[in-house]
Amino acid sequence: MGACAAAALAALCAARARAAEAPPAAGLLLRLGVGPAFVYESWSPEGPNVGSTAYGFGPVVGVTLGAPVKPGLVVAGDLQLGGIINRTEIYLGTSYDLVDTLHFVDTLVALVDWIPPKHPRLHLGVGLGLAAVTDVDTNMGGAQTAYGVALPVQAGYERPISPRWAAGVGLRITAYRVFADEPPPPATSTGALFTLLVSFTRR
Amino acid sequence: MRWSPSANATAIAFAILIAGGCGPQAPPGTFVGESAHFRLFVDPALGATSLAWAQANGLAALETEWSDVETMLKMPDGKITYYWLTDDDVRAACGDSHEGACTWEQRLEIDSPALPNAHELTHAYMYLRKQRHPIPFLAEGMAESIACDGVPNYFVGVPWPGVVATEETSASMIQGGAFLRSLIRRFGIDAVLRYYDQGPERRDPALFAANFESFWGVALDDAWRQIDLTSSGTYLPTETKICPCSLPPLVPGGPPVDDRARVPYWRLPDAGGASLALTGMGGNTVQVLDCAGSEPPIEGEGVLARLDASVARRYVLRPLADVEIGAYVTDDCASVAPYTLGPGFFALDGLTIAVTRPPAGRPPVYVEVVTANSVTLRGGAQEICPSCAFDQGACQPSNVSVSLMGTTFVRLAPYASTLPGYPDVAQAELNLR
Repeated sequence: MGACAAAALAALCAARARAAEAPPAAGLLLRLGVGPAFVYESWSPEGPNVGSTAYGFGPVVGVTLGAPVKPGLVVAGDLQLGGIINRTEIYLGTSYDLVDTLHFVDTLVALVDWIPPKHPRLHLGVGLGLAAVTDVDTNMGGAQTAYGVALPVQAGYERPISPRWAAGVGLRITAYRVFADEPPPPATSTGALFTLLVSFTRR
Repeated sequence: MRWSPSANATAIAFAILIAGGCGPQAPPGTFVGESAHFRLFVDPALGATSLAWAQANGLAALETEWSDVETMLKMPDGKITYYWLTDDDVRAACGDSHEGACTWEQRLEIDSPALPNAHELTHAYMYLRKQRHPIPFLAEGMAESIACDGVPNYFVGVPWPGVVATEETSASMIQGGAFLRSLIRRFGIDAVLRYYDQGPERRDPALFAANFESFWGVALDDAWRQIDLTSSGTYLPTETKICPCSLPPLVPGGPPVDDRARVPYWRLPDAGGASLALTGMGGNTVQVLDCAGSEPPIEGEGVLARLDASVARRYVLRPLADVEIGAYVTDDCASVAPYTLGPGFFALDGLTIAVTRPPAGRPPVYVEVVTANSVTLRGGAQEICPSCAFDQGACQPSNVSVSLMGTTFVRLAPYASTLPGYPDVAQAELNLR
């Protein structure tokens, strides 16, 4: 009985090891991620007025869909939706909690993900795309969106959990700049979104 | 308090998820009728008297309010559903145990224990004008700007960024009300409406300041200082909301018809250099208020007002027992007309004499008081005399209590504060008991 269990365990371990070391399949890559996010953002209006900074935490979800273009190199489209809850604004040296507000930082980018040949469980990526930042006042229902560009960089570690699926964690930093004309005056927001994602990848 | 579509949804979601469905409840109401701009329901719990009043007057009261405020806000036609409810049913309908009244903007419904409720109606009017969701500071402030109720306002001197950032209703009402009223007086309602229509829809102090200064070209700190009349913040008994003053003027010559629904106030008529004698009804104080809400009220159980056209943009709250026009306040004693303290004159608030502020000094004026009952004068006059023989040794100063009976001529010197911004009317009060 004990011998059988040991043999089965050994067989499972061997299978997992083979899966870990197997080269990525040549099909589509689908990565789903969820985790916490932290944003730090600077807002600058045109004209003589001083701007403000804001920070806050919230959840983020992401989905990446791509395909390998050569061994170890994946080109993907990536959608990430982050919602910062009740962020804090610092204006003229004083902090104000913006209770009952949501600050969505959403990005849609083209991403290049590279898997180092010697470290197949790692992946490093960089992207470029669009950012949409939406402020929602849940107290009154107002919502305003600003659009701009996003530049994410990411690093992740994944470990196979089945022949097709891998689980991992990833850190992504998305720099973005968005522009808004309404309400006047025109203004620019520049921010960095830090996300820590638990991911599941299907290859 | 207003509820926007998403706030509505949020409240309902909270009700379902957290309170097990104990959120806003459909208000109870007997359908009273429909007019051009309103559908009126009355809570059966208010009783038969209220229902009868509402059936006879409710829609008229609402339409009167609409027609008056429409001269300022110029809102388009629309249909507002108005529920006149008990306090308990208001709280249930608003879904908040602390709420005194509310407006559901998306369905243009008002739940209120008052009929009409100027604050909630202004919320609905503003939403009719433009379906936006300004921050509470602006929305509550606008709702606190227009009314003809004479209720004094107060202002708490706190920095504006915190008030702009808060979602708390009462702070927004108090500070935002003072701020919006100040803007309306300074720039006019049309400019303020243009500002409101482009204002921020999210609470963000930096954005608010930049938007304000971009629109007005005025530093927000300076504008805020204009309403912060005291360094520490206090009750400002001389400031009231802004009244459109579009309703008809008083017609002197007897007791005016008392109709709270159709005539909640009267504009002060141009007396053409004569004086108006306004007598309160049954001990009620006469209140003559500035339409702009910035001048001190003229109050007394009786008011004798000699105001020229430049300062007569005022209104009088109901009820009044009598309105007469004549030479009740004069610069010379010989031409003064008698004012009779009628039996209904309980002398709780005295007899107030108001004149257009003289260019300089405090020139004396004369009134002639006639009473069939003994009344004690406890001050307010310079001198009293049984005839017009002032300055001939036959009169007596009024710095002691004097019993009046029959005809008494009074010389007094109305006073106007010299504080900045203070008032265009000088007043004196005969303290009668």
